[in-house]
Amino acid sequence: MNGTPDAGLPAQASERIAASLEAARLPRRDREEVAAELAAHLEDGIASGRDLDELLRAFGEPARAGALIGRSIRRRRRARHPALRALQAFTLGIGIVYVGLFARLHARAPERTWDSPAAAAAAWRGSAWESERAAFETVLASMYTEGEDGRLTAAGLRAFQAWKGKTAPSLWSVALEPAYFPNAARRGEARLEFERFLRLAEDPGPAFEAERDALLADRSRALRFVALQIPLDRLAAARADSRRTR
Amino acid sequence: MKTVIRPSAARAERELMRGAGPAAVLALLERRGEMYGYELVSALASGSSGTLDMGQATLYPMLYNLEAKGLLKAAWRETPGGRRRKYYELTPAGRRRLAAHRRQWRDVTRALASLGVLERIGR
Repeated sequence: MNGTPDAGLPAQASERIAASLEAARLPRRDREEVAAELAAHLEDGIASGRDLDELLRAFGEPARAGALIGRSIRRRRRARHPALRALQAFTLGIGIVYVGLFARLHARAPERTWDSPAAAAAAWRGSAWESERAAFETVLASMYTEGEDGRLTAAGLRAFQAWKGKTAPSLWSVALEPAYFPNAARRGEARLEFERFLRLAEDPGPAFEAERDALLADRSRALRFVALQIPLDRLAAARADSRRTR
Repeated sequence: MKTVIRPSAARAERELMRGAGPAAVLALLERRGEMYGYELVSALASGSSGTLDMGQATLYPMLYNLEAKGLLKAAWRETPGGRRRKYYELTPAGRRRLAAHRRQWRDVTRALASLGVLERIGR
């Protein structure tokens, strides 16, 4: 039997079984087993002299029967394959974490004015995660230069790049990037944007300053830089070092 | 104290069926050893004077759920007439669950009898 009811059954009975299996939405192997069992049930009923209409009435609505059968078979399959159940739970857990992260990063972005690192830090306080806030403050502090009105400078940016010492994405950024950039094309664009910004910083001038001001005025663009470039573990270590040396 | 539930002409409510159905299936399988689907439906209906008369949409999901919980095991077998049927039988876990069901139902029927919901006999 290939998942369709037995050919020896009356057409009405076969149709009822087929409709129920359609509603059950089962893989082929389970479908064949259930089809065989339901067909055997109706054959037994007919063989015992019961009226077909009465048997079909007792069968129940195909949509409801199919939904109940489908649910119970899936439960049985999970019980038979504990690894599958664990995998499903793990996938569900990852999905929940990812959705939560996505919502957190996109829906609860802080209001801010970024005229200085202190202002940026204040804007994040209370609305960002501690690790995120610490990372962001550290990045901003490394990119701004003391004595220049807290403005981002090319020297500050280069110092940050030198300190960071690498261009490969960190493990953290690999995990975080998709949450910031669900669209891979946009992720690529952001990388190109960052590289262009770095090239501009090699030769500080009006173009760099215009780009810098545009970056600071646009929260989402600045966030992209954070998502793409921050190795959090190194930031945390550097932060701890700077506290110890103070 | 011995109590009985008077059979109702009407079918049991869904919630009652949800509790009584699995217990009845386990009890039948304990008594008869192994049974196939249609045989179970017939025995449930006749043994309960229609109160536990259930269709395939109720019976088979219940059997698959009991199987998922490890209370039943099933095997396909060929009948002398050459037809294939799936037979169900109790597992040791199923026997333990049936014993638990019996305790629960005994407590419930005693409580209902004490409250005057059920008729008492043999007093």
